[in-house]
Amino acid sequence: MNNRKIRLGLVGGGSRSFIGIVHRIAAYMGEQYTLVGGVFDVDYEEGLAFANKLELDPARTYHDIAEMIEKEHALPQEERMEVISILTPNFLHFSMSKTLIEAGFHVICEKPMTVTAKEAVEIEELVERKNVVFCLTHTYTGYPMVRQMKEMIAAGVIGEVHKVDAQYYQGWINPFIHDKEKRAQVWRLDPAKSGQSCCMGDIGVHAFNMVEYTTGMQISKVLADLDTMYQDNPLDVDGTALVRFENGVKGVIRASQIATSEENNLTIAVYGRKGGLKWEQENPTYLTHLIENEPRRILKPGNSYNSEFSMESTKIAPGHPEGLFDAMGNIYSGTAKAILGQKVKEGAYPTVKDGVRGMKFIEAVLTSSKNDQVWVSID
Amino acid sequence: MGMVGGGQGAFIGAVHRMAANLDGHIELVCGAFSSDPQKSIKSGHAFYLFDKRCYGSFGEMITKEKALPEEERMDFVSIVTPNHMHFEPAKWALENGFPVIIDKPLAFNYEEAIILQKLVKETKLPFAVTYTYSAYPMVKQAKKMVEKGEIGAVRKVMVEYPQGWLTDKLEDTDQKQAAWRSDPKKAGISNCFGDIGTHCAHLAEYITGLKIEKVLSKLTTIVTGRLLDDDANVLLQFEKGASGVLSASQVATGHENDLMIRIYGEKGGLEWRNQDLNTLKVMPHGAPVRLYRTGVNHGYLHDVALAHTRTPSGHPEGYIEAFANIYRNFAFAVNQYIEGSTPDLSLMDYPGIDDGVKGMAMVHAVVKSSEDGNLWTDVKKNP
Repeated sequence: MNNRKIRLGLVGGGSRSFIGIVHRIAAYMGEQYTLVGGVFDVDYEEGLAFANKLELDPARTYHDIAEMIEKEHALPQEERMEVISILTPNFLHFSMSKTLIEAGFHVICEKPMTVTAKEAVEIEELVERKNVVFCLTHTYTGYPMVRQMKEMIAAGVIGEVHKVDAQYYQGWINPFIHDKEKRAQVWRLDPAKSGQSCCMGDIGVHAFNMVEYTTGMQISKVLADLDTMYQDNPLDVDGTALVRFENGVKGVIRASQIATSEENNLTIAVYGRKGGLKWEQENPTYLTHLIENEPRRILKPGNSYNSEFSMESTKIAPGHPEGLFDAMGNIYSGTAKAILGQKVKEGAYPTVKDGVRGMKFIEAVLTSSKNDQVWVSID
Repeated sequence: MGMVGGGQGAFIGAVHRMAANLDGHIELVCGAFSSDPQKSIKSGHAFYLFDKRCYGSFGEMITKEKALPEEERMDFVSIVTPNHMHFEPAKWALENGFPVIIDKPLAFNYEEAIILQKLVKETKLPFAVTYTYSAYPMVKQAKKMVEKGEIGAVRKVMVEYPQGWLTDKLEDTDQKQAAWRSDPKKAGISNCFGDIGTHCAHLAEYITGLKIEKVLSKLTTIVTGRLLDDDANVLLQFEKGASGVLSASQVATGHENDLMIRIYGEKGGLEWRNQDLNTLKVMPHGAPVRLYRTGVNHGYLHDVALAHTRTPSGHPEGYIEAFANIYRNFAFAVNQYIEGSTPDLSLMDYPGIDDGVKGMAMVHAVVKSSEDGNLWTDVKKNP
């Protein structure tokens, strides 16, 4: 059963979606999935046109999830969808995940996993009860040099970690935020669609996830200062959080969507007693290794000095750059292994547990900021 | 220090003075800053000199300074005039017992260079040629790493110096730098190669410790009406079989002084860029790239690199400091000469007369190769 392709369905991700193409390419890359159908668009005709363009069976383009579940269940097991990627706006993630897991499907879900931490815990329990695979696409954990960083820290290469600094700066909201009419049109600033947070919920949580992923340490408390900039704007567009780990180590997580003209400047730096490691998402094939009293080293993917996990996450020879699609592809590959019941390395794909951690972080920073910046426990 | 040329408004003269001042070993006491005595005095005032020590010619300066009591007289001459006015003041200074520090290229032509070399050997006077780039701490580090075999035997050198400042025919304006460099009567037989190609060649020889034996070149004048080359492409053959490529241009639109050298040996490679001068990229075969950084606190650097660094890591030193390294080392050599002492100056090297002569031999060979239709041409060995 291992040498077959996994039958994939999509919810969202049609021609009007940005993230859809990332997921499709990622799924195709490892040659582990075949896209068989889905609910590609809220507008059925749009969805059908999309399915035709991709030369998919039009009978497997559905109006909604209920129809999809019913008709897929009616198919013989060897034809039926096995895993479904949820690429809809945030507020739909919870209900869709819940419905699909209950119907016995594996789920790949865009982040944030839910709107509240309570919902996230509910999904976690459901995943365990139904024994399905759940992948939350914290894409950046799929980069080979991020995986290398994780393994180096775990192996003690930089010694005991004593400082962490992560930032995710974007500037895209700057052209909208200062105009009342324009900011009212941004879906990410609409709590009904976006959830409780904009900046922290969308990108601060990526920085948070990267911190816990690379260090293997859990953040226990946060003190945050978030900014909505205008009274009529309900959601944060910028925020800084001081963080403390369980072992007392301190750090900073910074996120912004008003860092004018920044693109996707996600940068993570981890410092230990023997050295440091730094990685930037916009230059993902470089990992800087700082060493006390020695020249700094620049590590690049695909070279044999990297860890096995990092090497497995690279498909081509060193010097031919891989990027975001490849990172997402690695996450899809890890998920495929889990679906096929193969051995999966910890960290090969972000799980429902990462989703729960992320939602708890978002709620904690919101609580802290609302209460005039006090320490709030994540748990 | 007595200066020839470099009055107010001259580019390189000001650099030389700043460099000479930097470490407190050298004091400017006199100068022939201009061929016009009044202008020379005016410049001298700006440098806080007395009228009587601002001369109208280098001849006057050398004669009158020599007549002063030893403790007042200048100790050496710094020559910062355009190429065609290098030889005479240098010759005069040497013949009258004064050490010389001079801008590159050493002279107007190879023949002049040989005469100066003979004089230096006879008089044993300290003589420096300011091939600035060889004085950067990370270049010193690179040289030492090659010398100690850290990258194995050198096989391949790539060196380039793209500039864009002569993209237009700047010499038609009153830009003095462009005017003399592109004038065969002042610059000599080459403009681009003579000015910046020689820096490339020197840097390559300096770091590798290998001499360039043969060249095959194509010099081009890209801007219409310009009298000398503004673009140079040269294949290099080093001793012991290493090969190389040198490319220099003044019409590389948009570039500033983007000198870069890459050296590849059996065990690894080195890369250094003038625009990121405090970093040396070391590329060991099969291991992660290492970035060596300048800094007095960086114990992993070789002593010679530390000896040419003044600040802790992360506080950048630059061009003036590199220039100052040459002046300082030269000042030590002058002191040693005057006092007859024998301190250990093994870490305090500076480019000398042989480097200057080699530079002129390179210009000569590169121009000849290009004129002969791009043929392999021997570079004259230092006598």
